[in-house]
Amino acid sequence: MNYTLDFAPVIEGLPNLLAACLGTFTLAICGMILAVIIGIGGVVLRQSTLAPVRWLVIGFVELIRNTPFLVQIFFIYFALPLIGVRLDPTPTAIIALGINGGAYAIEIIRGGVQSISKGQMEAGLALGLHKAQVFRLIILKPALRAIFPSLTSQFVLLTLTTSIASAISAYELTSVSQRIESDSFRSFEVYFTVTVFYLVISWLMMRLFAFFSARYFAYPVK
Amino acid sequence: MNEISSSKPEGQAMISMAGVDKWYGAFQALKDINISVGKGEKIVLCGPSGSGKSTLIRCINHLETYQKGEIRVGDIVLGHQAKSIDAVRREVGMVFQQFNLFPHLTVLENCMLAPMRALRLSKVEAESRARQLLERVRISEQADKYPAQLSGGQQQRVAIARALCMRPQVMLFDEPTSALDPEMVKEVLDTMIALAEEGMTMICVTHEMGFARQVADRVIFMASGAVVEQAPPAEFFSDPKHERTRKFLGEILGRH
Ligand SMILES: Nc1ncnc2c1ncn2[C@@H]1O[C@H](COP(=O)(O)OP(=O)(O)O)[C@@H](O)[C@H]1O
Ligand SMILES: [Mg+2]
Repeated sequence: MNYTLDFAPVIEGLPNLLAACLGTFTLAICGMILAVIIGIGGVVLRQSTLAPVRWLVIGFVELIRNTPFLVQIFFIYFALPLIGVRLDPTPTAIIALGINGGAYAIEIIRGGVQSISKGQMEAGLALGLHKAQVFRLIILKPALRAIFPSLTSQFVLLTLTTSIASAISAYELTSVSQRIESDSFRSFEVYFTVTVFYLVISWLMMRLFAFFSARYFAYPVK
Repeated sequence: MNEISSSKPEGQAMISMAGVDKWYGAFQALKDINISVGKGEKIVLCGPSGSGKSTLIRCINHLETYQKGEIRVGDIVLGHQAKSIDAVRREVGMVFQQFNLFPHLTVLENCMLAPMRALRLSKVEAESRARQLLERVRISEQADKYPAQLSGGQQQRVAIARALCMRPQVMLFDEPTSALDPEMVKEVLDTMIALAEEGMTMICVTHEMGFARQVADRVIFMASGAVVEQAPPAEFFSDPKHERTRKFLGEILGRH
């Protein structure tokens, strides 16, 4: 083996790669926000007194968790235009990530809600609060705290899943690096650099979650 | 007629239960409950474990539904519609065996939450009310701590203050001292005694017979979902009428 490393094309493409990291961050953060909304909303609907609403949520979770993400993103990007819904790659990727992450978040957050003692709900109701107020003001925060480590790993996974959006040429790290690689044929150097970038991005995400957790869940527990 | 029974209020009862039946599936947890509690009256509800004491008081604020009979609180008929349930819950405070303080809120915030959200008090009003009641249960210096930083006895006193912040007409206590270490029972009982002396209408599920003797106007004894016997404490302890009551008293007083 006498392969000579040549990072020149990578260095030359560095501004592009860094901008692409920002693209990856954008997809990940927007996807997560959507996933949290879907997750919490799904948990609320999952407790509905109307059985068909509950079935709809269960069906959604099962559908998303038992099909490949690549197919989901292709469905939105290539199939929906046939019924008149045409989206650019970036919004497509965000929606796909949000829906996918949301389905997992529903199950995770539901576990958190179930871990809160019934006494909390009863104390809230006895104080004259309505069920929705009890959920929002009393149950939600301790429930999120209980499952926050699982949610963190799910969202780091979501961050890495953004690379699949390269299949529809969304602007993010993997697709930009593919372009540099096919122009320069420097596969090793490009993917080595990208691997390091993803590691750093994952690490930053975890720091972000740890920071948020330390702020938001600062109250002591026994 | 002794002093206690003549102190029974005239006119309308604060709480009345008439012919209340409750089932959990095929199991009947309450059987034809008929109870009337006057304004300012203090009731101690006792009976063996599983006799339906918790179920009974939880029906009064509709934490449990019932299938038959009528429950009134003041002049509100507690039906099964949201409106009357809301109205009743504003008049009835409840204290639980496990305290059930909200762990993510400070003591002060625990006390302010419901007045702000259910009574729509302003933050300033809710806070001054909360501080006043924390003072009354003698725990105002802990206002900015979180529940996990307090002892069991302190937590239960906060729970009492939190319920009182709604300015309820009635307080329900479900074994408020059963989860406490023995050395903390007294501080909670003292708080309850002080509340009783201020004229609060109270129904207390408790096996603290000293408290019953000191505070109760009437002791109600339940077994197997039915009210077996009720009498002023002096009479209840010295001259129980029913075999089951005697057996229960033998067990509970024998223990002490
Ligand atoms: N959610 C429930 N489902 C079925 N049975 C219940 C439920 N809650 C209580 N019970 C039963 O009802 C009876 C009365 O319970 P409870 O009111 O808690 O008794 P107590 O407070 O006097 O110990 C018990 O036999 C108990 O097993
Ligand atoms: Mg009980």
